Amino acid sequence: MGRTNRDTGDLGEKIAEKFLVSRGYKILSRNFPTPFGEIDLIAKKNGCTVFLEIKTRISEKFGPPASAVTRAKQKHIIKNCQYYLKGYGLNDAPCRIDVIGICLDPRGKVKILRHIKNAVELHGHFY
Amino acid sequence: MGMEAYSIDVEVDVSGGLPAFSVVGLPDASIRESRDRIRSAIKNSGFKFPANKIIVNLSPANIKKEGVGFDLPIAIGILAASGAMQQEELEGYIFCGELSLNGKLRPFRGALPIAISLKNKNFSFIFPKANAHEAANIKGISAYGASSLMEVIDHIKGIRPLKHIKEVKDQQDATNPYNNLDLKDVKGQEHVKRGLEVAASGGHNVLMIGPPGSGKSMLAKRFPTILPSLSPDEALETTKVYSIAGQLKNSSLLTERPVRSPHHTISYAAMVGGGSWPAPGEISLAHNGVLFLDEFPEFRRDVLETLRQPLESGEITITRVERSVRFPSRFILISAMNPCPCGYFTDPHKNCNCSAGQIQRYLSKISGPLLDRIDIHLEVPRLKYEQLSQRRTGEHSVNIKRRVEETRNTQKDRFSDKPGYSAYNAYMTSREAEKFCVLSEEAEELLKTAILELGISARAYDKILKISRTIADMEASAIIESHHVSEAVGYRCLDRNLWV
Repeated sequence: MGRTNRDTGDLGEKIAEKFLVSRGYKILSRNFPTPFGEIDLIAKKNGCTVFLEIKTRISEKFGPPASAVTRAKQKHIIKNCQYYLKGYGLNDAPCRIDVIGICLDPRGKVKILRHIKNAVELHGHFY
Repeated sequence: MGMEAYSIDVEVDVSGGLPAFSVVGLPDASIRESRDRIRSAIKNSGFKFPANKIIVNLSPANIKKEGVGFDLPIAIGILAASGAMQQEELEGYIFCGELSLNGKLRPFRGALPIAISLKNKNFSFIFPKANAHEAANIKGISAYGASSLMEVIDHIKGIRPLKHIKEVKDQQDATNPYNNLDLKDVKGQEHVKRGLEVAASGGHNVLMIGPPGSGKSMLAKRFPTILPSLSPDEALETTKVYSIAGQLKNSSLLTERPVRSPHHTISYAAMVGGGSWPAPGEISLAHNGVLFLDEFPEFRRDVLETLRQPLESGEITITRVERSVRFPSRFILISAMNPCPCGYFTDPHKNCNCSAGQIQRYLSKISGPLLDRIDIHLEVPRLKYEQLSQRRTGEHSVNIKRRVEETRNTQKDRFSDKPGYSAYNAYMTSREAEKFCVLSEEAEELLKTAILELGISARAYDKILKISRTIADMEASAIIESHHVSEAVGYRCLDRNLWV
């Protein structure tokens, strides 16, 4: 059975979740749906809500996974997160957006895992 | 803005929500860009950049903010808002400076005017080292010089206070001004030197006319050596302009009068000032000094016309869409030109190949009103061989300067109620001219004759009066005698249109 991209992504998200739990994060939600898409993972640590975008790759042919989070994608992620915050009335709560980039070897084992905190910030006006 | 500075409050608010960093309060492009610089500088100084929503407000909100001096106050504000410093520790300070990515402080333009404008509010200034030296030139200013963000933070927290920059006592070496040029270097041309002495004594403008190689440039370059020394107020004013223009070397007060000699291809904006900031132009950089325009008719007409306002009022107003900015611009204009396009019209040896029409067109390049504003016209003839080769040197500049300063003092007393830079005979109003230019009977007769016979205009009459007053002052004579008037009339050769 061929491995689809979807499977890779799912695998990556599971790996990321395990990683975060091991670092003391509490998982609030997986694949949270919004009208614009979905948020891969939402976790909480030390009172700060952390939104996570998870990118998994098997080969590095197209560069490190984290670089796939382009400007357009970032805007997209921000929109998703703002929806969540608004919906739960959390507009002033401490929060941030992280990116976890995972490189797997052909057998599905983790080669590299990079957790970039506060990877995505807003520029200019954001209301 | 222009020559005045206002204090800007930098407010920083840090709150929850998705992390962001924005600056409001009409910042210009360079301030908006500074976000990344400030973030790096804070991180590289060992502090955590807060992962929160940060809003920086530059108040008052309706004035446009410009320049890179805001990096430091914004960084300090962010550190205070995120808890790295207390609000009370920041009281009583004004911060200004550009930040490098590694946290080092870099100098900004205009430190001197800022310090002057905000002197009376009892603040201490924390500036980059070079700017602190600049500001320390002013008495009664409390200025600290820092070389990095880290040093500023250490000072505020009391860990390692910065050095208080003391007033700079010894200025630049004043014994060798103007690169050792001296009027005695010029052979002969006693008539011209006399004319320049009159100009220096009374603040009159000069136009020199002569063939190429007759020594016009040489004389002009040595003119500043006979001008009185800069007074402390004049030095401060001029240093302010240079500070704003970013041309202050060594951060110290200027001690020589500025001499600006722009090439005749200069653009309008470079002469007048302007650009997006706006920055002072050549006419302001020559404030309290000399503007030397060689090849006068070769300048663009519109550029020459810009001289009218400063020659009249001593300042220049630059208007932008929302505001006007005034720069000072009081200078002595020394201009030089050839008598005709080929240059040899009045040369006794070389033949002039220009037609009458060509000469007329050449001379009319300088508009009537502009010519009217130049007080003294000097013919600079080509010297005969005997004069060129003589060993005897002329009078030393330093002696001439002494006489000039004497005459200047007479005028200072006369115009004691006017500001320093206007206390010259050349800037007398008509009422003052009437009051102070008392002519002897003979002098009056002579002047009347001159007007009738030579057809002198009202403005030229006005000029002749003022020049006579200066010549009389040079002889310490209270009344203007006829020989003073006749010398003054002699300096108006273009009025009588000797050429065509």
